[in-house]
Amino acid sequence: MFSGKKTKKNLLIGGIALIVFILIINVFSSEARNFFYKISYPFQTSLWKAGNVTSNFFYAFFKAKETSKEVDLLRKKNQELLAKLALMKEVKNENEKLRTALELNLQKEYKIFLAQIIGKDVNQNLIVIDKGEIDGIKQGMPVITCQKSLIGRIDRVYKNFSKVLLISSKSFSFDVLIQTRDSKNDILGVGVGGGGSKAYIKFIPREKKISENDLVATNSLGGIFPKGLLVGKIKKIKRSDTEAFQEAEVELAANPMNENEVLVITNH
Amino acid sequence: MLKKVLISIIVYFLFCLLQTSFFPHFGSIGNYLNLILITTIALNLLEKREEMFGLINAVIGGFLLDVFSNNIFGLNLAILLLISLFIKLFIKRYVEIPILEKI
Repeated sequence: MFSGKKTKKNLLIGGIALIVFILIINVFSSEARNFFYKISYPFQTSLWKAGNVTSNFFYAFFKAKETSKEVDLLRKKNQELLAKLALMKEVKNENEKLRTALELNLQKEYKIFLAQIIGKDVNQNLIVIDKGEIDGIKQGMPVITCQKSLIGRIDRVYKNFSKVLLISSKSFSFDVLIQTRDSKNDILGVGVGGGGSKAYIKFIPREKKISENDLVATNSLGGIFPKGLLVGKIKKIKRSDTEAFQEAEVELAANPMNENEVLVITNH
Repeated sequence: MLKKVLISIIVYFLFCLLQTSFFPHFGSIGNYLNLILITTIALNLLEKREEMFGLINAVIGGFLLDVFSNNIFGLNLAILLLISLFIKLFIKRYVEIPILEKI
């Protein structure tokens, strides 16, 4: 292999041309990626939706037993929630009156932008959405689901597309508030991504009492996210007598793989 | 050769779309399945040492993976090219794989 003067010369020229090409394309990387995303956008959108439907079908097919158990559990939870809802309705009425009096509403609280997920980055923990610089998207903007659960924040912005760094990414950290059952004692912590679809809360003082299923929401202390966006609930707690802090694994409320659209908060 | 390269570009582009938009819905297998890497390794193992098509495929596949990733351009390209060269220069020379010999 690679013998003969002519072949060696051709390989050398090819190698140099390739290096020059890579150097040039790195200068225009944003434009190049935007161009490729623009070409693939219609296919990616369809494939993303098809993937969602197919995976749901197979999930239902292979996990019928688990699904029926989950349905039973959800029915019970639904009943509990309906009972709570009845109570909440009264509070809501009162709230609405107050809100009108203060001339406030949720849309004024957040200015949101609907974007469609078109794909996932090859290196994981990043998703691509179909809104970019020309739509007013900027780096650092929070991204949530339509149910207002946190997904991540804008990491890179191209002309027509953006990449969202998921909260499960290992390079992600943000302030969180653990809403304990005793609502007077909400606990501060630092949320960090654990890779895959995991996230952890670190630096929870050992003396603070947290329990499984406690809700975790964002805190505005770090200035990254607005206060009160749902992150998930506590799944597992790790306590050690030798360490000053305890750690908790979080079951994330949002799974971007099950979503087709996300909301970008543009005025935070 | 040009026809083969064009077909590779189309096929690898399709693989990239599947990898980024379709497979991530299928749990961890879908997340880590890299069709381009598998195809490049298979092509380099199956073709003769003198042939260059496997290397060209590594360049095409690597470039497309770079487009759909967040890294600098050239990283995936370099990785795939090195894997292909390793197969051609070492594995094909010093390792005998009976199944491949039959092919």
